[in-house]
Amino acid sequence: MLEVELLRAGYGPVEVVCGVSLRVGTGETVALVGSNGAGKSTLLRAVAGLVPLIGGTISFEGQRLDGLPPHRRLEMGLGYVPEGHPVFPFMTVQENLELGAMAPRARAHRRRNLDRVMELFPVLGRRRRALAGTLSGGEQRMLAIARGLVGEPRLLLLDEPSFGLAPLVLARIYRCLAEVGPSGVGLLLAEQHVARALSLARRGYVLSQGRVVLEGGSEELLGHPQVRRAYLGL
Amino acid sequence: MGKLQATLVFTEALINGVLVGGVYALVGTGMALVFGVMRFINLCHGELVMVGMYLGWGLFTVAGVDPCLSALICLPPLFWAGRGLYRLVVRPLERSREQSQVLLTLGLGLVLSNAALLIFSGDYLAVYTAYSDLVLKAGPLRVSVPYLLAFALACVFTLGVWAWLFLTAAGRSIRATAQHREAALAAGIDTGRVSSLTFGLGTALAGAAGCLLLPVYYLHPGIGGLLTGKAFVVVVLGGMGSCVGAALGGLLLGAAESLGAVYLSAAWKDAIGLLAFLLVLVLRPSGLVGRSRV
Ligand SMILES: Nc1ncnc2c1ncn2[C@@H]1O[C@H](COP(=O)(O)OP(=O)(O)OP(=O)(O)O)[C@@H](O)[C@H]1O
Ligand SMILES: [Mg+2]
Repeated sequence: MLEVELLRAGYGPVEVVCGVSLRVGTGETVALVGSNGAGKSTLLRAVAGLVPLIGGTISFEGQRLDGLPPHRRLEMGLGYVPEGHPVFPFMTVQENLELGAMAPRARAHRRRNLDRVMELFPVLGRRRRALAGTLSGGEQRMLAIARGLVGEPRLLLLDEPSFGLAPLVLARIYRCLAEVGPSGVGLLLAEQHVARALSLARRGYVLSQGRVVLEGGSEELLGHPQVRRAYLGL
Repeated sequence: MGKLQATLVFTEALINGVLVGGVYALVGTGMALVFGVMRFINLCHGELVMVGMYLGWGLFTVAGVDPCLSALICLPPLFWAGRGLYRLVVRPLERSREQSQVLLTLGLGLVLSNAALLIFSGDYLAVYTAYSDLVLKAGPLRVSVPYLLAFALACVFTLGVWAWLFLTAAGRSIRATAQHREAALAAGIDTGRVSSLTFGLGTALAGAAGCLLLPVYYLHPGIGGLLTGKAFVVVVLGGMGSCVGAALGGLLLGAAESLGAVYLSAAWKDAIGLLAFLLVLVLRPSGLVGRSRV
């Protein structure tokens, strides 16, 4: 579904992602792990169209994405949830979700998708009239993911869904993500939390200093001595 | 001066200040919107107000159109002029550092005021309508009718913009972009189009405010810089990028200037605003209504 070939991207003259190739199959959950500053976010931003490419190609469902603005990529079914708390703080939960479902692609299924994410994250349904800025960090993260999902994506790029969350909240978000996969939505999950990400995904890529240094099945990666030493502290 | 007399002077100064402040609020709202979405201070905002003033003056002088009507008439052409300006000169600098955009708008302002100097010379111009000298008497209080009219229309425009921001899809995408640009991009909002819309809207509001300022200020090519300064003060008073804040900031600046002119010295009028500005920056650095945006 998504094919990235020798992608290079960065900020101004600084190249942060230096020739990464990866693929995500239809409905597949894939982890992209690596430590702080490895270039995971930059890679996702490039795929979503937020930073320009220096080189390489990106294809989605057989179509080249070069130069397409983010909203056109979303219209093709490529969704993106930025890192941090990417919500509209002075709008209600409901308004946040409706904005996510405004694109022509999503509008047709708006009702059904809104109901579905409220079911997936019941707290959002309870707090639908609250301003997003008043939600807790974990709830804001859920809202951002939910807004990504109501955009009716075929593949969702998720940047660090676990970052900065208490273990219980983190576990809850991951349980929800585990329900998203089987519904046919592909996930590309950028994570520092290597063990978590690899336990959800079937396959993974390990990124270091802008390059893929390892790739393979999750079990294989979790057992790899380099991963165990560098990321799992074993 | 008797006690009653003193109260009267104070009340009239306050009322006049608030009336002018209503128009300042409209000027500030345009700048706050542009800042909220694009994250740079538009230093030619006052010159755009000046363009509106010349348009209103021209329409009145050539065709006898009332400035209040001109405020409406000049909305569409200035909206499109603003969008054109954005496309041609602001957008190409979008990916560069923000200082370059600020400098660009400073340059644009110079071009506009010098163009005005070239076309209209440096003369002070004014618009005298049938009601220019009309005064409304409420007991011992006297309120200028043109001021009252300018205030009422400025309120209508300001509230109209708020309604538009909150009730329409385009308005919501502007608010979303101002609140979290990356999230807006992720939600499929075409932020390039939003920026263009916002700059157009800001320009149109500046122009409308210019027409409404005709009864208050003499028109001359140097007025743009002065108004940019006032708009900036209004926006900062209101807490950078907040529309409600800009409205409050406008009223406050108007009142402070008017009271200052009465109690300190008329020559100090423009400095009073800056003083209020410094005071707020020291006491409440986040502005009157905090950081809340659009
Ligand atoms: N907006 C930016 N401008 C310039 N450099 C940036 C920008 N964002 C990130 N960088 C740099 O790019 C490099 C990679 O950052 P990136 O955010 O892609 O890493 P990451 O793997 O997502 O890290 P983290 O786990 O901290 O999120 C870092 O060295 C960072 O300093
Ligand atoms: Mg990151």
